[in-house]
Amino acid sequence: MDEQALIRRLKADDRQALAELIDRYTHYLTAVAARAMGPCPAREDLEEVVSDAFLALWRARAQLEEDRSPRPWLAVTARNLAYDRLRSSRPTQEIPPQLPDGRPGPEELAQRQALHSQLRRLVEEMEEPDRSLFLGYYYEEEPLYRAASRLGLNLSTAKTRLARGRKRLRQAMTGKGGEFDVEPHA
Amino acid sequence: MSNHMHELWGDLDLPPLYPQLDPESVRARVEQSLDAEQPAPVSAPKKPGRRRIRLAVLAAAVLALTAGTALAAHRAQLLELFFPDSDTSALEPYVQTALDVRETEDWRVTVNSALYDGQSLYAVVTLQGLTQEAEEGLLSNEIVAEGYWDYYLDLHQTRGNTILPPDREGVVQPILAGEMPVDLLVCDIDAYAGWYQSRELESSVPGGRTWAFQLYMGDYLGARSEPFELWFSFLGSQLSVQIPLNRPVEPISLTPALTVEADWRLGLEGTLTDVSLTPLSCTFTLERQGDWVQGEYLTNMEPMDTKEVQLFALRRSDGTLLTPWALGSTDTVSTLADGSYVGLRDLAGREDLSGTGLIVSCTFDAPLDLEDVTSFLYGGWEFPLDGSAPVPVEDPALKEAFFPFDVHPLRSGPDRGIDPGYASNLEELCENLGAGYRYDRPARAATVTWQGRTVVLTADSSTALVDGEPLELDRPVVKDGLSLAVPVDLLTRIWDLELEPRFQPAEQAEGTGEVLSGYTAYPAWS
Repeated sequence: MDEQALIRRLKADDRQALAELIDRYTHYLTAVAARAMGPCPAREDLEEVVSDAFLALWRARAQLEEDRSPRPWLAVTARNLAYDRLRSSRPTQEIPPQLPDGRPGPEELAQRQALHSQLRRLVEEMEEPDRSLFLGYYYEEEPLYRAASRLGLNLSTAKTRLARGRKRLRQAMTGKGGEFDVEPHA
Repeated sequence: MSNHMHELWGDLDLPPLYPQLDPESVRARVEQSLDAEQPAPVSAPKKPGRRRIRLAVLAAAVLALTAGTALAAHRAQLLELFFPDSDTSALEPYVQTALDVRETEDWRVTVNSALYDGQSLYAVVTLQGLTQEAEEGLLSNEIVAEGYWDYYLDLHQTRGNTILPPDREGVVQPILAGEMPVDLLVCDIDAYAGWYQSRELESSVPGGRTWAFQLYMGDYLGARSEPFELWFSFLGSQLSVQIPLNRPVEPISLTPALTVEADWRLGLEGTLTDVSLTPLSCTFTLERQGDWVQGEYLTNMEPMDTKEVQLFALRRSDGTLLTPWALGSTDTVSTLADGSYVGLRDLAGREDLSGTGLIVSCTFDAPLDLEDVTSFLYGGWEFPLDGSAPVPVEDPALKEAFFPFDVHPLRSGPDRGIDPGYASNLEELCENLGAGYRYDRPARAATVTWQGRTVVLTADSSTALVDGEPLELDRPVVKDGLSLAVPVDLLTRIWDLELEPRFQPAEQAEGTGEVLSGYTAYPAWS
């Protein structure tokens, strides 16, 4: 119902409602756009894609349905904008070891990707409901109360599960030496 | 609100895979684009002769958005208004902003913000006149006074409200003069077992007026699919606004289904069926088991008489306990940003509480950090909040000290007159508290240990030693038979006891015709 009121206000040209939606969905759209744009996208590019998604929502506000969450609409829009941006970017010729804007070079990037792939695999291998809780809260940027409610957990239990899950992930990723144990990749 | 994924990466010491964006930065970027393509509209007057004043309202709205703080300000305003000087971080995610707006040609009613904890609703509402006539009528109270009189008449006619002033002027004039605070914001209170109140605030918009509204529902209702409706009495319910109740502050809920000792002294048992704990309240349901003796609980049902069955506690992560009194409970109805309330309601809604059970609810006067609470204690049992199996409360002193006990005043002098400034028989008092007591007869000094503190009291001395440190009392300790009588001051200052005076009729009527006969002491435990 809260989002119904927001959509209703958005359709009534209320920019405060748009501001509220920006607060609510920026992190989620960041995750969606980043996954589409590839590892370590430039901040400026990411912010432009996310902002454009909200602008698109504003421009399409008359067509929005009040009883539907704008979340999936925003996700599809952000993903499409991210792909458009990738297609329109000029091809690189030679990638220096360290990019001018401080982003990691290819070797470091490959290592990061391997770590994050390992993290994702470990989360996928968790038992339920921890798996769904981690995917919803971290990967989909879902509010914890919503993720907990969806899984039939009370908030306190959900927090405990997240804390224990993080501890297990840390142990699994660092092994005994305290250093990240990056799995070899092809 | 931070990015969850970045929190996880930070916790795991992983380098980020993408940058974290700041919603404020995104918002500023979006606003800049919108301002460039769409300047704020200016509307022409709709009715000849009546100037529309929406421009000022819209300009204020655009300014607020450009500043990027309006919603945050609404959120902060509600929290500061109802819970001043408190840590409200746990409540922030649940404060709803950008809520309902209802508008006619003359009026706009806006719900600025609202917070619902499953039992109480807090809201800030603004009313604006959209025409010059409406605005002037609102700010001068004229429309308010006239409209309220109509509302009052309707109450009298439809609900048999017998409190009717002798004439219309008796209602209208005090409102016009600003002398009569009335509940201008109203709702269908019959749907709830509680009460509501409102209070005007400094207005947050030009040409408008702003009110804070609080509803206590009497029961823990939790998430509701039907929104709550609220309207101004002098405008009528056709201009009602809605506040969603489907996202209450997340409670910690337990369903113990355990038979416990509701009052161990009288052997009264009940089954604890539900417990709901939020940062703002604790509610539990007790179904009677066996016969609860008539006359003990079922007559003269003032809250004091039933305080015992309301006695629960919360254990903090450091092991200390919080009782309703430590949480802020009083016997008065709470007011905005002041006090709290412990209520008792019969499951069957009976006035004499003679139904099959009771609902006890305690609202807190400041938000509680639930992350700091590990268990709920009641009836001789401890119920961990993570849902694991309850355990009996092992320490008998803890169990016994839940309950109030009598403190007798000192009777002294040849006429054995009562001295209300003293509590007699320190040894018996310690027994009731479950405190350690040792009396050194030659030194005429008693050592009391309770809640980790050691207090040494010496006859004829007004200096107490508290953990070795001297503390001046308001009068000296005196010998009382084989024990000591101690200043009441000591009980409240050092041991945090709440003392409730008891009175009995005087033999010779004088003044109120009653004299103090003693105190009932309630341990605060915090």
